[in-house]
Amino acid sequence: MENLSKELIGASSIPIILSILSKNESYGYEIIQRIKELSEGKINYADGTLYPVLHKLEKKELIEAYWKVAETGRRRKYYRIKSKGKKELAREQENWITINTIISKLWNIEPRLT
Amino acid sequence: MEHRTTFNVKDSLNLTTFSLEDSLNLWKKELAKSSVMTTENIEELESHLRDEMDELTLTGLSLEEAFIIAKKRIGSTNTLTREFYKVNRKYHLKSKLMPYLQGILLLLVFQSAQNIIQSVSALVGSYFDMSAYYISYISPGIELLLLVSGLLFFFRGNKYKKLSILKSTPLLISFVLLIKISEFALGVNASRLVNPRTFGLLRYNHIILDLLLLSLLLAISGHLFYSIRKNNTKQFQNG
Repeated sequence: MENLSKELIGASSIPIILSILSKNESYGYEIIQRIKELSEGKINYADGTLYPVLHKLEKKELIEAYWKVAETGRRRKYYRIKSKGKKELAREQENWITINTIISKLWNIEPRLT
Repeated sequence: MEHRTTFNVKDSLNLTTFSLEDSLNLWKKELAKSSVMTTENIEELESHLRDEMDELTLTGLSLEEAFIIAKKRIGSTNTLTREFYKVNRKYHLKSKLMPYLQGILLLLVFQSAQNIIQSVSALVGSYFDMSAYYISYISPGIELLLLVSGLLFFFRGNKYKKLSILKSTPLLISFVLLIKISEFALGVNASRLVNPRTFGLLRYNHIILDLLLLSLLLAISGHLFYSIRKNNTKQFQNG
């Protein structure tokens, strides 16, 4: 099972995080577990590096954060998507669909490129 | 892995007990060292680490094993520092600048205090009809006395308590403002009431004191510079 390239992971991290948060508010650890589960381990990076990405999205006002006492009794920082984030997600979806269409068209002509 | 090992009579056979709190504190200190992460950032990472450890201990791992694996998964201090720097650049710059700014504020306080001593000595001396010659020695004398007692107070007493007063920037700023205002008010009065010759003599002796202080400061700086460099070269030699 080959891991995805760093560049591709970097480019896709924002739409992936926004998509996860558009379903439900969540916290860092849970978001990472979800990404690992969805990618079947193909997206693999140091878990802690997700947080700077979350903070960047927070600064851009795409998501908002708040501290809450979790069921474990510990304080935990939760994130939820804002309306600006939903718009950004819609734009990202369009972009990715466009790329997907282009690549599909190209590879349908010559399906077994490798 | 660095963590404090304690020996317990019950756990014979040299079993070391793992202290989670000690290890966590050490880890957090390491993260805070580079002043790239805020305390909130570190709290969030700690909450993540504890969540991960909860999951790992459920699979039957010991607390220590869970800590080691969770720490590895969250990423090395270098990786985390590098990634957090990308979003915390401003915070990093500010926290690095702060000590310099405090140094400048302290210097301002020192300068103003010096001017206040001069004005007060000249005013009080003139009021009692003292000769300019005496006044010009009393004023730097008072400054020297205050400096020495200040240094003694600083090194003798509870160091950390006194340092924390200096570290409170709002307090320092209000102090600078207060002392600057009194410096101005006293200076205006002194220049109006005191004979210029007295001031001239007084300034002269203060300049000599300044030069003495400057050479002392230069000597200390030079000594520190070379002793730090010596320590660094030693470290390299040791590998």
